[in-house]
Parts: sequence; C-alpha cells; structure tokens
Amino acid sequence: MELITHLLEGFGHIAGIAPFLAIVAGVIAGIFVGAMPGLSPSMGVAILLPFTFKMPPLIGLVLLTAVYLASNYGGSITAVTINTPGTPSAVATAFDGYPLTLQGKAGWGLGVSLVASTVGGMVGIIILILFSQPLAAVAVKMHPAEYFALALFGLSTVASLAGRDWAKAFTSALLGLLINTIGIDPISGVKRYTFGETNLFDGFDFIPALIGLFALSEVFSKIEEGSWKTRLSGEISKKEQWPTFKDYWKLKWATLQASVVGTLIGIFPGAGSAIASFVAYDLGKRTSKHPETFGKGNPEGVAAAEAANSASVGGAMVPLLTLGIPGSASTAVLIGALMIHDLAPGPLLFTERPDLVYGLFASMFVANAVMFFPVSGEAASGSR
Amino acid sequence: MTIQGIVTFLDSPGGLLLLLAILLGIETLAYLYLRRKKSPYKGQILVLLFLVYLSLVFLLLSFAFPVKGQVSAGVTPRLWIVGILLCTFYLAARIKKGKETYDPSVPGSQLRMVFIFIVLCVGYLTIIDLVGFFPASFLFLLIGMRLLSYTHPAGLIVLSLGWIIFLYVVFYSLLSVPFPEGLLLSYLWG
Repeated sequence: MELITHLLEGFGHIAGIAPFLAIVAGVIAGIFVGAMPGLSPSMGVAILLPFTFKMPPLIGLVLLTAVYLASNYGGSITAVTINTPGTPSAVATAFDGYPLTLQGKAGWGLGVSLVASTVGGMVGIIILILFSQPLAAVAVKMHPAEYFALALFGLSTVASLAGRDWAKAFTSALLGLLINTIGIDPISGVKRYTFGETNLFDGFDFIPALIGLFALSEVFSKIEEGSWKTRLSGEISKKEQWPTFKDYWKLKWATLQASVVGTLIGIFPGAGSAIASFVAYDLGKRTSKHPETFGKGNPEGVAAAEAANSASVGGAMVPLLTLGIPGSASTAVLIGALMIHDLAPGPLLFTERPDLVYGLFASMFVANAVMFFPVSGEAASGSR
Repeated sequence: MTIQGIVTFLDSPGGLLLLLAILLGIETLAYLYLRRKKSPYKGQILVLLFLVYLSLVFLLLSFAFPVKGQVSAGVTPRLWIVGILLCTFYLAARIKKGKETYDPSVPGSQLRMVFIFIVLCVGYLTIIDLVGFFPASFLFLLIGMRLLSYTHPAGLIVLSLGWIIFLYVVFYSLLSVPFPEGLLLSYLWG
C-alpha cells in the first residue's frame, strides 16, 4: 500500500511541463543515439550529463534515464533496416530483424521491436519497483565464479544459434576469444600480440568491431551481389507493412519470458543488455514451436531480443539504486549524475529521497509510453 | 639470429608487415591453385588456411611472453588456439570427404568491385593521418559513390559535402569529439 502511495506521489512529482519535456527530449535523444552505430547508450548518457548540472536533480535524472531507456530501443532500428546494430544489445535483434527486411517486412521488424521494447521496459520497471530490495540481496552474492558461469552461459548460445554448423560456430567463437587476448593482459600486465603498436594496448573496442563485422560486411556483401546496380520496381504493399494487435498478441509469451530473463540478467553488475538479449534469444529459440525458423525472419526472435535488452534497463537500476553498484556502463554514468546532485546511491536513498526514487520510477513508465505512442502512431498512419 | 630474436622481430611493426605479406602470399597461391582445380570449397579452404596460419603465428609469439607469476600470459591464447586448430582440422577432414556444403555461389558476382572497395577503405584509413579526417572522408565518399555508378556530379558533391558538414557541426562543434587533423591541416593551420 505504501508502495502504491509513493508511486502515485512519484507520478505527481513528474506531472509538469519541465519533467515531461525532459522525458520527451531524453527519448528523442536516446533513440537517435541508439540508432547511430558509433554511439552507445553510455556515451549518450555521458554526453548529456553536463547539461544536467544546472537542472533540479529529478529533472536531470529523468532526462538521463529516458536517454538510457530509449537508446536500447534505438539500436534495433538500424539492426532491422540495414543489419547494422546501433548498440551491442541489438546484435541479436538483427538475426531475425534483418531477414524480415529482406522479405519486404521491415515494418514487421520495426513494429515488433518497438512493442517488445515497450513491454520489456515496463516489465523491467515493475520488477524493479516490486522486488528491488530482495533482488539486490541476490546481486551481491555474484562472485567471480558466478560471473564466469554467466559468461560461459552466454557463449553457449553460440551452440544453439549454430544448428548443424557447430564446428564453424565454435571456430568463430574461439577466434573471437583469441582476438580478444590482443592487448595488455589484465592479470599480469604483459603485452600480448600488440606488435609494438600502442593503439593495440587496449585491444579492440566493441563498437568498431560491431561496425566492421556487421556494417562493412553488409556493404561488401551488397557490392558483391551487385544489388547497388538495381533499382526497386513496383510498390511495396502498404497493407502488410505493420503487424496488427493479433500479431503482437501471438508473441506475448516470447516477450514476457524474455522480459523476465532480461531483467534478471540486468540485475547482475557488469552483465549488461547484450548478454541479456543473447540469452533471451537463445531461450526463445529453444522454447519456440518453430526453432528452425529462427535466424530466417521469425518475429519471436526479434521480440525476445528486444524485450530482454529493454527489460535489462530496469534490472540494471536495481543494484544502482539499492546498493550504489552500477549494473551496466550507463548506470555507472548515472552514479556520476547522482553524485553531482549531492545524492548518495544506496539503500538510504529510498528513505531519504523517496520523491526522487519514485519520481524516477514513474518517469520510466512515462518514457516507455512516450517512446511507444508517437512512433507507433506515425507508423500506423503511414501504413494506411 | 636466435629463435628469440626472430620472435622479437615478428612482434614488432616490421614483423607484422612481414607476417601480413606472408599471409597474402599464401592465400594468393592457394587461391590460384584452387581456381585451377575448380574446387567447390575455394572460400572455405582459404578461410581455414587463414585460421591455421593465424593460430600458428599466435602460438609462436605466445612463447615469447614473459612469465610473471605462476601462470604465463600465453596460457589463455594457447587454449583458444588449440580449440581453433582442432575445429579447423575437423572441418578440413569434412571438406576432404566432401561432406561439407559447397561454397555459396552468387549469380553475377562482383568480387572485383569488393576488392577495389577494400583497397579504397585501406587507402582512406591511410590518408586520414596525412590529410585529416574531413578531407579524407570527403574524398572517400566521392570516390566510393562514383565507383558504385552514381554519376550525378551535383549529387556527388552535395551528398559528400553535406555529410562532412553534418559531422563537423554535430560531432566536432557541438559535442567536441576530436577528429584526426592530419599532417596537412596541422602544417597549414599550425
């Protein structure tokens, strides 16, 4: 009961022009940042952080959280349309999103990713609000052995995705692990395979690897096919551009399952939305009635990946707000935002500043709605 | 020259160039041989050759890592190398027995254009340090679009220049993202 009272008070705190504009600005900026392959959610939050110095604490946090939330969805736009994930967590979305585009169903990919993102985000927030304290107790029990098991579990999704070509999939995974050893060894400080180049001391960054492996490979593939010489002829049927409510309803279990998985993985500090989306995609494939269609344009794959990566936002906020431990890179930047406004993240924040905490929760609900309604309305009007 | 000396040389910029040149030579010879044999597994064999070469080079270099503490820094890479070699030998055996699927064939394949584009990308990365990011990107976009048969002169200039202006305004001016100036711009503007 007290929880509901606090939450309603939270909605009251953000019921104003300034908070609403902050949410809208955050969502727009977040979608843009997420869609751009060179920018990540943490970069978006970090770039906008200085703009919040002069703002009241709640408005500043609301803006940054909206950016974080929306950027996880934004990555799916380029993942679906041009097979270039805008964020690492959108990689799994591209597996089925881009094949849908190739089938002339880009609207399906975008629509499913939007709805799944919104539902996943909402589920993540609900779990955050209801279970933040007990889940925080679980988060601190994660030790190096558990992280190793989680990383191994994430890598095991390779086996599930590979199907019959398991040897090629394993080879690719091992090649990735080998390339990841380039740079200074974090344990011993030894320079491995740097060939005297200072630029290789830190190894390869995720974003350039993402752009090279997805964007450039797609460019070369299209050049090889010679499809840059052809032009589209005829009209794409507008009738089939966007899924209907019935189509979304068929994906409800895949979406809900992925949302819960994404939230739980997001809780573990350092796990991140990328692992959440891969694990949820793998689970969605295993529990699907048609697993053989995954990777060929199955909307369930898009729904699972997107729901998980958006739900992980709520999960990542659990250790941040309850323990002061960042659940992801973006929440690490949010800690900076809290400190700038002279707020100490941790259990006392709930008791000393419930207006801020529950205002933040309420703003996350509103941000999801702001992300969903204008974008889906625009799409629906375009499809008529 | 001792083995240690050879390994030390290979783990240097000159050594890297030598290794890349050897790799290019091996792949070229293999490609010519397989093309003569009309092998349906050309692409897969070239990839496996690359993996074996990379693994052996990395394995050799790992023995030169200094041992600090109880476990050498080379243990983890060697673990992955063993896995890669086992998988590649398995795949090679399958190819030898004809059990692998053939390389996919792309009708009207424009492989030559792909290599031209790769050369263009490498050239672009090379001249960034010389002329700076913005001039290099402008040239890259111009030449790239022209290679892809986009011939409208005004369109070429407007699209290339427009993108550079967008990058300059949003990322350089507004967000203060540092871009490489290049030797040319540093010389001109000091």
